[in-house]
Amino acid sequence: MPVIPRVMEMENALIRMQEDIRRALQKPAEERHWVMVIDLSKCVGCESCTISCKAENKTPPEVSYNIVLEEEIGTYPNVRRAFVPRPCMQCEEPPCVPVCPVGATYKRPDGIVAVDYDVCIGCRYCIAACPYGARHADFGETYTGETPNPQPYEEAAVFEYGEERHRTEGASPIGNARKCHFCLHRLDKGLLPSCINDCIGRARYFGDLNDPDSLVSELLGERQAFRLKEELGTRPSVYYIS
Amino acid sequence: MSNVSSRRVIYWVLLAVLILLGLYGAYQRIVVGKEVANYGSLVPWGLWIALYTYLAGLAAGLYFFASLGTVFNVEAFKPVRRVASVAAMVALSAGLLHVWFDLGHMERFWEVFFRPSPTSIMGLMPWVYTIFLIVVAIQLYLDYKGGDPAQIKALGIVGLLLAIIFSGGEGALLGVLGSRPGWHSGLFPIRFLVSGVLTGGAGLLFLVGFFWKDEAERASLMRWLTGIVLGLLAFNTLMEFADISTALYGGSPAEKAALDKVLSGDLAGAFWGAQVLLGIVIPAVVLFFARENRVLVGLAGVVLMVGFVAARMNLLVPVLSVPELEGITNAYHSARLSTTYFPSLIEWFITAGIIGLALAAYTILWDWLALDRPKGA
Repeated sequence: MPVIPRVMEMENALIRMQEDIRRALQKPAEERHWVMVIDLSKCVGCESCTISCKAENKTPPEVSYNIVLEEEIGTYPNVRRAFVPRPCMQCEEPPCVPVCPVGATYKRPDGIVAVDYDVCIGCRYCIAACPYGARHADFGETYTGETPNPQPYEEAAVFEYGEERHRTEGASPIGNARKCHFCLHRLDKGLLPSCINDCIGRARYFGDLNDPDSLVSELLGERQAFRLKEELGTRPSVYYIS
Repeated sequence: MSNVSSRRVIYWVLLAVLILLGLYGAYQRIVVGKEVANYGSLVPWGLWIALYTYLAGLAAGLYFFASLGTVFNVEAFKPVRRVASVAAMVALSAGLLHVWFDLGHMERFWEVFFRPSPTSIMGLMPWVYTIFLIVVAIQLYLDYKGGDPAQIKALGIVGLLLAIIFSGGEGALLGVLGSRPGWHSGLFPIRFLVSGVLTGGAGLLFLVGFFWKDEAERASLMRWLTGIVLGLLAFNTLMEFADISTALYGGSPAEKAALDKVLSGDLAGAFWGAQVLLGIVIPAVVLFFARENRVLVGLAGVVLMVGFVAARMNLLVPVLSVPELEGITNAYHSARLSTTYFPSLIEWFITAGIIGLALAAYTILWDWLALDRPKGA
């Protein structure tokens, strides 16, 4: 059997996931179930997912949709590090949705939990309710605000939820609760979430779990998977394999 | 007389200072934005939300004592029905002002009225507060106009039910969050209800002890109030002990971590010094051994109220400051990701302003509506 070079394998996965999502977009939204699969054995903790997300969504210092949790296992000198990337879990039973006093946080038919920035009053009840620490309050801070002025790239347009916004003068998303949305604005155009594209070890996979031919369905069929804090009954859409 | 006048001048100067500090804080909050506050994404609520839940509970408690006169026909409480009802309205308004400043988008507060989510306790609460304020206002109007006692009583029953709903609802607001083991307890709505009535009683002890002129009425009220407050203080302490001891014995790591912060960590001073000493020990000793001394009893009421503000902070902050997942605090770096919280100067200023405004409003209403002379109305 021919050995496919590693680079080729990774490219194939990207192309396949791209085809998976374009196929899924042909279906009605309620028949899709977007999931992310993260292979912990491939994650090297490089944070390229975090940086990619920052670049795509231009999140400020106090907001980070994706983080990588690190754990040191063992006692020196016999130690190793484990890495657990943590985007929003896009729970099937999201605790953040029912608590929102104005319905600004809602679950889309395709399973993604979204925030209506123009309705959110910034009460932060959803942040208290999230068991994964996946929500953040945007306080209006910038990385370069004291240099002495914010650099233009901090105020450049972002396209979250398909709407062009500039983060200036207290306008939304400043003052709102913010979270990862699986790069919804990219998905709607048939593109993969940016963290999937930029993972250097191909540790992250994305697709429609309701499509038996998708790569994510295949991975979850073949490999043992777990989800974070399953005992809470939130049924996350982010699966971990190793 | 000149002595009284000079005390009044000092009082109003103090209130003016508090209000000026508040105005400066409000200016900073509105112009600079949320950056002036010290809470963040890990501890998303702080002083303002703690005081909001506290003041809403205080309002419910004060109204409960008004209801003892208007609904349950307890003679001793009939003279203070207006004092307590107006105080309840002012306390609730002060609590709601705190939430308003806490909102990320203050200009969108009206959204909660026009698109409340039926699944959210926080979404339904603004309507409950609003209806409560309207009911109490109508009840007071009828009372002053010498209206039908049956109507006043009916409104009192509705108001009392609403007060129970929003007071217990404050506890439910936190208690329903399964993601926070330190709050997720069926006892929470009951604890908030009891502590609300307790602080309401303490507030009345202060008002009656210091400002009630009719000695016979005052003596009767103080007998009732000291008994009720002592009883509730014992019951509340028992519930707190039950919650803390069971969590320490068999609670989740998150519950224990939160309690460690309170009992022996960075909040130990606020717990042992403020919550236990001011909130329990001193008032209990005074109310038990010096119940005839109206000044000491009045002061005990104030001390108890201060202790319960600390109790509310100790209930809110430590649970939030335990990260939901291990490693979050090291995953990225921002001042908003701190596990410790102490209110910023601007947070204190705004609170000072709201308290000053509430006291000023209450003092004006006391004189204008002759709250302490209900028989003459």
